[in-house]
Amino acid sequence: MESLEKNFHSRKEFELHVRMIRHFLTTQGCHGCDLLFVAINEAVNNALFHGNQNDSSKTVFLRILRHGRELRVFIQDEGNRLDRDMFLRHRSKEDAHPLSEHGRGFMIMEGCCDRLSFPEPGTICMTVILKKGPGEISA
Amino acid sequence: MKMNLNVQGNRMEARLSGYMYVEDATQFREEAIKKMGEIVSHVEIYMGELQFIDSAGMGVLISLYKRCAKRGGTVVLHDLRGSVKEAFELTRLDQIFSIK
Repeated sequence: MESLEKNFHSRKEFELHVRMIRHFLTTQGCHGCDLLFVAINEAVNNALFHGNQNDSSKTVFLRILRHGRELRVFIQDEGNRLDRDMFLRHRSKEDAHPLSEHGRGFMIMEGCCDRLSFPEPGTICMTVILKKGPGEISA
Repeated sequence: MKMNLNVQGNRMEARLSGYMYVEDATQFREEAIKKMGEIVSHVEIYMGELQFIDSAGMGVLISLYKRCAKRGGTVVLHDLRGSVKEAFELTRLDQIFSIK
């Protein structure tokens, strides 16, 4: 199993890790890893701004695990807020207001992965089924 | 992100390149609204060299769209590519904007 773990407290800290995160996704043979990164970025923003309420004393934990043909991205905040019910509430608002200047993050997260789950409050897991097998590198 | 905004009469042309993260989106909104003033009603945005946009950036484009629509104009997006294009399709913004 291969993995990448990064912790951060602000957007600026997250940006320091962006290149490494993108590189890790690419080397895992993640078809459409650019789009998955868009979803990771949305989940991180949600964790920093809504979960941790922009409190830089709180941490966002990012873990990406390669398990066979699955890539699992866990994003956890210390606000203990996000769960399935909250996700679905916000998601339906995004559908109901196509001209809203806010939102769409949940729509992007949902659309960019094969499975979305909430292992515990404040943690979202986006799972992508890889088209290439373990050890195969994308071109 | 790099942006180049030019206004001629009631039209504004914007050329965006690089990565539009949440902080870039705020800057783009401020500069675009300032340039548009009370006159601009039609905006052309060239995005062929834009490699990344998040929901905050999309929100800014919606804001410009609503501003133009109130003035009887619109926003046209050009040359969407890669994950930017896919993100517009996922969020169905491709059904709202005129895309060339």
